[in-house]
Amino acid sequence: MASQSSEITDGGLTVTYHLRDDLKWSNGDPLTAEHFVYAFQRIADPATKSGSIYLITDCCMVENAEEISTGELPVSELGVSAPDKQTFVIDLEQPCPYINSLVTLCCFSPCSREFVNSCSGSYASSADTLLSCGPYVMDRYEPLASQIHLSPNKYYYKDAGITTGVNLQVVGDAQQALMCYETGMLDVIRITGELADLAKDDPHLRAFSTAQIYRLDINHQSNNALKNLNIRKAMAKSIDRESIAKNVVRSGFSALERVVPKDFYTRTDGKDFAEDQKKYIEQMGFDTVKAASLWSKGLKELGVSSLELEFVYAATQSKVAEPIAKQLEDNLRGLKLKLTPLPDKEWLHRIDTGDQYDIILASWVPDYVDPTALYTSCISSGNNHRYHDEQFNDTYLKSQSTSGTQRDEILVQLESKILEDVALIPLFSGEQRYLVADGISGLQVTPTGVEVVVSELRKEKE
Amino acid sequence: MGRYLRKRIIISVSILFVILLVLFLLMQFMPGSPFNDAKLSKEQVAALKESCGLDKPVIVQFFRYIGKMLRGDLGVSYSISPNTPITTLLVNRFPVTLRIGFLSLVLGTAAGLVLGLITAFFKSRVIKVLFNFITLLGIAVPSYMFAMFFSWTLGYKWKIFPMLYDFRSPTFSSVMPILALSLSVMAIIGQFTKAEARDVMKSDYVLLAKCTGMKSSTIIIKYILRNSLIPVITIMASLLVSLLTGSLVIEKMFAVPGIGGLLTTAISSNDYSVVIALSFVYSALYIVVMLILDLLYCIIDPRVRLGGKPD
Amino acid sequence: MAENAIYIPQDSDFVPASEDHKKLTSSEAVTGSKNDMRKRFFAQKSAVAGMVILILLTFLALIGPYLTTHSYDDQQLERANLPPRAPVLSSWGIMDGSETINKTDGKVTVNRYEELGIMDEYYIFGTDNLGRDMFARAFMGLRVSLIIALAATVINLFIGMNFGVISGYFGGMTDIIMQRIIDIIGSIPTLVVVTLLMLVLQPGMGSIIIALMLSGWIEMSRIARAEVFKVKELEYIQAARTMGASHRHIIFREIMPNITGKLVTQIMLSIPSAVFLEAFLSFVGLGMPAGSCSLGTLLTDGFSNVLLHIYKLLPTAALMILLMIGCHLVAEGLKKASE
Repeated sequence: MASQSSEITDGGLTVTYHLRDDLKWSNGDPLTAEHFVYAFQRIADPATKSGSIYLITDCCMVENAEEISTGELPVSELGVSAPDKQTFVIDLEQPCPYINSLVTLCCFSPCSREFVNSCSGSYASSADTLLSCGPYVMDRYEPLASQIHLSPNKYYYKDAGITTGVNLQVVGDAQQALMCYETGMLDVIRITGELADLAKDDPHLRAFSTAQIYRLDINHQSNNALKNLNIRKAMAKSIDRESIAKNVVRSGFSALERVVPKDFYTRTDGKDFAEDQKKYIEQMGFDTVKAASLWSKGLKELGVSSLELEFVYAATQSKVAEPIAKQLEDNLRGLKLKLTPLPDKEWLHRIDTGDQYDIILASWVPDYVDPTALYTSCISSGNNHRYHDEQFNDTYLKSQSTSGTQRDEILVQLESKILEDVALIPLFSGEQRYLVADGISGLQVTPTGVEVVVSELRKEKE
Repeated sequence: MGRYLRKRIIISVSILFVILLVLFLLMQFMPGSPFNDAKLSKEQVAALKESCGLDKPVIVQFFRYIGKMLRGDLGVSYSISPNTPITTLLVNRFPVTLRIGFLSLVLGTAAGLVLGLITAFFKSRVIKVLFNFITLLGIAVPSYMFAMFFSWTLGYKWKIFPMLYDFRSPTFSSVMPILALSLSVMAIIGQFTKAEARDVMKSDYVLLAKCTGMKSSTIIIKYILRNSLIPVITIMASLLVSLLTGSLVIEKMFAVPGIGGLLTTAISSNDYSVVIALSFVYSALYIVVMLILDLLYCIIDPRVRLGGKPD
Repeated sequence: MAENAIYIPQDSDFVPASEDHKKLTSSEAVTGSKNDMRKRFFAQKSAVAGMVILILLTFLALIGPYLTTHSYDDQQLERANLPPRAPVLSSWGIMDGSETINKTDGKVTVNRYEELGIMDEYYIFGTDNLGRDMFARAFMGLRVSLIIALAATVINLFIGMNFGVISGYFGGMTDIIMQRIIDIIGSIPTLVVVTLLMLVLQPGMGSIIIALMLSGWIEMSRIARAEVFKVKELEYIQAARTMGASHRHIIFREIMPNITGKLVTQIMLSIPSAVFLEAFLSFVGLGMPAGSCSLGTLLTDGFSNVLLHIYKLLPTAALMILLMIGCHLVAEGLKKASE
């Protein structure tokens, strides 16, 4: 948005962005490169306790970020600088092939130091303590609000052609939302689950392919049995992904038999990275007979006749988890799953830390457009589900410092390693579906996140 | 009356004290303290604890806690909106819930009184059957089904009322939540009024009034309505409880930004501090309303005023 | 005037009491009134109807799940969301497995049974989103709800009634202390009790029953106490007391039989609120864990799909409403009969 051009120099260690010179905040103050510097520093500052800090310490390794996050160095030592008002420079400790995709995440949006200080600790907690530099400005917001209202930003650098404000509504009941859409009260609604059947042939349906994936993360440390490759292989092959995707998850989700979903990453040769969806069918394909024989082989190696595992999932996803659990138990004789539905927060915490589960139904959204975003959980320092393999770690490091077709090959190696070793079990990937009324244009959904971008959203005058 | 009043207030305050004690104890045992952050060093945790007074003996902490709660400082949220003071979360929600609850109570009570009196007065079989049907439905059907029904008819099919709460037209958009909530109130009050009015109509003084040739409208207003109203007040407290629980469901359905929705969110994401703060708010609200109802009862019913025995 | 005619005693009036007469105790009057009450109860059509509904529901909860060949938790994903289809009726075009769906771009009628080629299968209430038979599930759910109702009854009897009776019978300081306890417990809204419980316990049947134990019996104890107050000053109790009867004898043999009517009425009223509590908790996501089967979870499930498949809601809703209405009618009948 703000950048006119960018260049990567110094062997990939320095990234420079040149900003427009007519940018303004919604209070009329000019927006300068210094505000980007401050945004990065805020994330790095341990006092901010930012949940996004891993992005600059692990994902792209901004200079000194690690030391600052532990408090060893002051925030001012972070490798970001603004040589002049329109130039913003990031210094990296290691080349980062996907830096341009990463910095579009919303947490890297500019942030005015003067304004944050003037809010004395209540920055971004209400509409009054928030500044915008996009086409809309928020004029009504409360913490956990069910309604947020946006108005046109009169200081936006160009005429955005906005005719009306945007009212964002949180609706707890999906059917209520659908009825509101049909009566014209709501113009755009997201449609999920079984209700999607009602709109599957509607010409107003817009599908956005997102890289949201479901997978079973296997804890490689919690239970000795899960260290057995045959046990893991048997589990991967005993889930009928297609049937569950079609009948239960629905709304555009389909079976995923590899780590990276379709249409997510384009190789240097212009082809889709996950073009061959059936490439790993040997490891992941549904086959009850093979699953059963692998399972009994695994049990024999372990010297036991039955297994009890804890299966953790978010209570809100129990509709997906139940049939998975049922299929695992039905197809693997002697497997007993202890079902543990959890509140979202607790569930996320366990995914992040790898604590207290044997297998967990995880839903992942990569932070940036690169396959490594989905591989990080398998490197030892990522440590999400305690998978540990030195060779994998080395290969992963190599992927950070190479580029082009060479890098693509390394990525394929990583993917194969994960699937052949059944480090995790991919399940489904999908798209997000929205119903968009006539006269509405410009709805965007980021391919990486589950974020809806409203800045281009326009409504035709009636 | 003064003595009775004093007694009631003392009881209410001691109840509040007990509730605070229970909440405080729960707070002590709950996981998810903000200081469990692994990134903080021991010294930092100690400093934080000192700044929050957590290094003091438990009993001192308890009284500090009471003081804070009564001053309106309900603590901060841990997970649903980290570090936001709970008071901030409540300040805009509380009036919304209160207004919708109060209006449903008023509407439901009025409708119930009218229905009950009509049924008691006219001995028509049709009216009786109709009345029984309506009240049974009001009691036997969960409020979310009414909410759905109203959304479907009034909102979706006939497009009379909006289906979602909107801060730009708070009155108009709360019509459906109020309707859905008031039905059960109406049913309970209706049944109660009918039974009471029947009793009153059989009583000697109404018989006497009839014999003196008083107009039936005067009898209804002067004797029956007034005397049936007294026991209705006694069930108001239990109605309030059903409204509180009902609001959880209704607020979810109609996207009303009230405290019911906040409570469900807090419970489902294990935000203990918010749950405990809301429990306090709900209990305090309930105790205050009960006290007011008791006083009202006291004013209306001379037996209580003079005798001083509420039973 | 004939009734007031002076009665002239005869010799036959003055024979010694037979052994039969001696057997009668002071509770004789009670059995008499009980018989009267039963008669008055059965004289009311609505009360009898309520009774029949309750018996029928209990019966169905016991045998319902076995009336179909499909098990209540057998998942068949390809048979998910089948509409109801019943034998015999289907040949007349009712419940034949076809379904009209109001899609956002117009109506369509489909018959999933035909599409799947399972025209010889009958799911009377249809199937849920995992292809489980709704018929078996509905009655399984009813069973769970009735267990909760039973728990509510037992709790009301053991805690509520005893508390109220003891408090009312002994009076004095005992009463004052016990009433303050009631005041405190009664001042905590059930909603708060339940939410706090959810912090400590896992959602499920256990926590619902504990919530009932903590606060579901208050109303019962109030009523029991008030009734005991009314009865305990009556002459026959005074007589029993002067004759040296033990407290236990007076409470259980003399007082209890006379207040049963009111207490049973209260039990019948407490059942709907217990069942409602479960349904409500399930709706806000605090009740029985998802995947388990109770009227509450089934209603919530059906409810979330009512625009798409209304048949998923109707049978469970009907069972729930019938259970409620049955309890209320019986309670109403008991109330009238005991007055």
